[in-house]
Amino acid sequence: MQTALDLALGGISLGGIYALTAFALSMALATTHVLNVAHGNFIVFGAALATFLLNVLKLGGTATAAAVVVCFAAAGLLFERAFVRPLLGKTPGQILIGSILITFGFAVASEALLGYTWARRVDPQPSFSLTFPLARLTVGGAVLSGTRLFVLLATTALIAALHLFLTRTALGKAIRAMAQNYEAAVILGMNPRRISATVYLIGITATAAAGVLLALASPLDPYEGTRLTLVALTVIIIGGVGSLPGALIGGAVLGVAEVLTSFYAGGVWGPVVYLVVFFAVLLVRPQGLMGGRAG
Amino acid sequence: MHNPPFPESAQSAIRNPQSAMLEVSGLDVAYGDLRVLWDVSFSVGRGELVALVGPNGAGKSTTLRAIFGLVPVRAGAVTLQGVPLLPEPPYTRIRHGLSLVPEGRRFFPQMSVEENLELGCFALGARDGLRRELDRVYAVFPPLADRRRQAAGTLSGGQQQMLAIGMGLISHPLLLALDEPSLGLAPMVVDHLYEVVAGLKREGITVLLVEQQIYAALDLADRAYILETGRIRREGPGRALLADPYIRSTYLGLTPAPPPG
Repeated sequence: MQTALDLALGGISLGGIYALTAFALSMALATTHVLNVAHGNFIVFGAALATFLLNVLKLGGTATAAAVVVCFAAAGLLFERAFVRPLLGKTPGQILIGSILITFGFAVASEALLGYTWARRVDPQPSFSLTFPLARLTVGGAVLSGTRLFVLLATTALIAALHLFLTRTALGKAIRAMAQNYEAAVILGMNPRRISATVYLIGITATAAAGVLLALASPLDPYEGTRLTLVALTVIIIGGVGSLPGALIGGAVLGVAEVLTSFYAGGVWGPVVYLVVFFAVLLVRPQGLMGGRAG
Repeated sequence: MHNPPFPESAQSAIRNPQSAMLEVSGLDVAYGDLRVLWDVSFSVGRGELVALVGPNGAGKSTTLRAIFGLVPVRAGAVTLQGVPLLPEPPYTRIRHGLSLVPEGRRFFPQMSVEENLELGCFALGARDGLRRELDRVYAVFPPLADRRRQAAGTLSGGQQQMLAIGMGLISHPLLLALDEPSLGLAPMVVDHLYEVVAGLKREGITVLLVEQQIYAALDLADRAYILETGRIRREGPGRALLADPYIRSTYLGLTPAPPPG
């Protein structure tokens, strides 16, 4: 019973992280037609920066959180300016191919740079990991992982904030509108450059935050970016592009499946799950389990 | 007459009170090596309903899209109340008071009817009168009021067209451009649609109507232009063109009109 509770909590909290990053990628894909292959790298960068600030520089939790937000908000804007803006105005097909090529180059270069710099300056065996102060909680006789509970609450809060932004603010509605019909949005006065910049500012920051939370759960190395991009893509395939409920369901499914697989077959087999799901879904229902709506 | 709510359009009205509302001159459009429009020129006066009609593939939609900056223009000029539009990016057209209801009933399918209409006001920024504007549109299109929380993609074709027109109107544009509004709609729905357009004309709203349904458009228009394979071939008052023998035989399949009296 205890183990089942642990597994459930672990699976859901991991699923929440996956849902958050998948939705960030999916929203960017739906509004700008850009597929950011380096998406997973920002998860790693978030973990890396937090590890550096907390463990190496010994800054407090609040200062670290603030620094992560500011840094990655700026990074999101820069990334959009450098890699997305030049593609504006091309056909969706051209944007897709172009963005995959550009961001792949960025992914390879940036993770190599991170790995090299960290190994030289900080630790020859780079590993990004954080510990949560209340790691073990006892609630009503059962021992729960305080870390996983915190992660679950944090991802819920972030996803809820994202949802409120998209449904209650003018800019949020404009982002959703542009994802559903680019031309109608432009005709009604929505500025594609401003919306593109906002999508990446929020998306990259949310992704880095997810990386910080992931580092609480398990250590990351600099080269896990590609694996994490694949996870996000699998969630999108399950849940559909541009859909938040879809991302939640897809994230939950993959999170639970990965945790169960790791538990029963050993940690190494965990990542196999989403490769299997990825190809299985593509073979059986290429338009995605949720039927290719949105976007 | 509705008051334009944008500073840009109001200023130009003061500057050029006598100019035609919309002036298009010498428009040349090509897609790569494929030339689509040749020296297209026309104008729309304040309060007029002007129709741009012609057969399939004549370049009517391309003309509207060129005015809105959605296709690249090789040469030519477009001014709204004397203000040149072509150098500006497409998303600024609505701020100048130019509203487009594009071909194919473009809106946001996963959002509700009311959210779609609210987005029609996006360029106006936050404003207090939003509820009043929504009610105004609902008064013109009662079926939309009944379905205000429904996802727009689930509406029928005719209702979607009403929604698209509502979204175009809600910002009180100086000029409303309609791109083939009757396309894909059943005849009875088209009749109702044209009643709505006639109503807009009675209210003094300036309308540029692009249509393939030539008879209905010419019947309603103050003036019309015939576009064939990228060139303006004929222009004149709507009723006069309806009596024109060339148009009657080519487009309406009718014998020449009997002489009056």
